[in-house]
Amino acid sequence: MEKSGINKAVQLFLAFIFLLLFWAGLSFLLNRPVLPPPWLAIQTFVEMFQSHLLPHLLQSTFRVLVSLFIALFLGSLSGLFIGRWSRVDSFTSPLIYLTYPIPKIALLPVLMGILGIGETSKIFLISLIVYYQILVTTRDAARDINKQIICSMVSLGGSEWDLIKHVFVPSALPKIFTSLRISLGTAMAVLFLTETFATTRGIGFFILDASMRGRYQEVFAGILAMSLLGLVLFIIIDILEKKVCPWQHI
Amino acid sequence: MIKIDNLAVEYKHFNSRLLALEGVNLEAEKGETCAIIGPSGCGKTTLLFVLAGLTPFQQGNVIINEEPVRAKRKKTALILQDFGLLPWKNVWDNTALGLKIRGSRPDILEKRVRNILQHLELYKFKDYFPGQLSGGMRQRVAIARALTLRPDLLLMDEPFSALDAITREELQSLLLTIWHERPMTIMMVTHSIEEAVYLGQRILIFSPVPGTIVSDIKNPYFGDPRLRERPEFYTLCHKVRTLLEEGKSNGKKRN
Ligand SMILES: Nc1ncnc2c1ncn2[C@@H]1O[C@H](COP(=O)(O)OP(=O)(O)OP(=O)(O)O)[C@@H](O)[C@H]1O
Ligand SMILES: [Mg+2]
Repeated sequence: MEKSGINKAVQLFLAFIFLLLFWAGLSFLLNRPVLPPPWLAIQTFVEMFQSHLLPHLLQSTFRVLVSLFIALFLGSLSGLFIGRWSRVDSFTSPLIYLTYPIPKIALLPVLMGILGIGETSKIFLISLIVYYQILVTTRDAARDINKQIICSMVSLGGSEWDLIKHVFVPSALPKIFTSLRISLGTAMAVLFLTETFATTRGIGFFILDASMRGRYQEVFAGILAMSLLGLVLFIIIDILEKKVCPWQHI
Repeated sequence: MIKIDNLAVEYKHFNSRLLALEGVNLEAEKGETCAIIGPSGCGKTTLLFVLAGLTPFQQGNVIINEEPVRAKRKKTALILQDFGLLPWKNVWDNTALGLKIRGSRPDILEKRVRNILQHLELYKFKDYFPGQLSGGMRQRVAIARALTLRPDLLLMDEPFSALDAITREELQSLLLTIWHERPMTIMMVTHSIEEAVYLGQRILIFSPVPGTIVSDIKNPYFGDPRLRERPEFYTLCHKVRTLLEEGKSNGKKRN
């Protein structure tokens, strides 16, 4: 356990070095200000972190965390509900089927019209997109429960609540974590986009603003900050998954 | 203990119906073990599920201990071939599940689960997940969980059929030992003639679907742990095999 943790850290570090080298090589070949070498970007990142980056980063973290929590809560709840009761399923599944492919990101201008240009429309949009992923995953997990498991639970005297607590939730958990991992990437992308609209706070704004002023080192410092945020969230999800679903790691 | 009168079960498929069981009559005493054997798809699982109160029936009467059958009967335990265990719970939690669901007092639960796990030599593995156990150990956990409920009726659906021959014989002997320690009524579906003869005081042979009992054989040798080494064992196995074949061909004529 200890050892594999250290191994993983070493592997991550090596991959990081490799990426930096790749970036340096690319920057050297291109030889234009739009792609500064990594050490300049890192230097700018360190210099600006406290004074400029941190407030933007905190704002972005707040947005993405709140959105993930809302999506997780509502998505798994409704997914469980839909997957468990086929009558609800037969009504909602066509709805989900039709609305799933809508590029929800395109709703941003509309949402801003309705919910205002503040936090609500941004958080709503990120939540909505992640919500769909979690909803579909949880619903499918709940549908797929083996009938034999349900039979043994019922014969043990299990109520509907016991089934949910002992069967449906734990069986959906690993899948929810997987979909959370996948949708984290989407969430970060959507976060960036929402932050380039009508706001002066958030890492997305910071990056856009720097690029309009031609300060590419700052652009990359912002990209680094955003990547760091994604990475930390990713690691947190990983650790949580190992804690909550130990039977998946045997 | 069990009294089944003229039972019939019908399943609705999309637009057709399938008669799975028809005219099943059976009486079993308290503490009697019955092995149920018959062609695939003849309704054996259906019969067990009816006895567990999980499958509704269209015709007949099913009485267990003077009461009509129902799903939440406290002293009925059901063991299925696979999947009876929850992959996300360790051996201890799987074993304790039945008591927990029934709201047992924690001290009683602790004691009973520990005793049974020790008795079945599973205590060392109490923190293991089912995925870390062999097939035989998993089925032992399922047995342990059933025993925590102190059942007077144990329903088993091909409990050992997924196991290799040696493990299967071990578990058959274990079940016999458990039964000798605390006799309970056992209804066990099996595909194995040897298993039926080893574990059944009575051997019930089913016809093809719609299933009904075509022979009810009393097994005078039941209870001998070394029965498999006796010539009578093979004579009886042979008899059961012959009756099974006859049941099948009669079934064909009937259809
Ligand atoms: N839930 C169900 N819905 C519809 N038909 C069913 C259902 N369960 C069983 N059947 C049908 O009823 C018949 C009896 O099934 P059952 O599972 O009781 O047979 P079985 O004797 O246990 O078979 P096997 O030995 O293969 O396990 C089969 O023809 C099966 O297709
Ligand atoms: Mg069956």
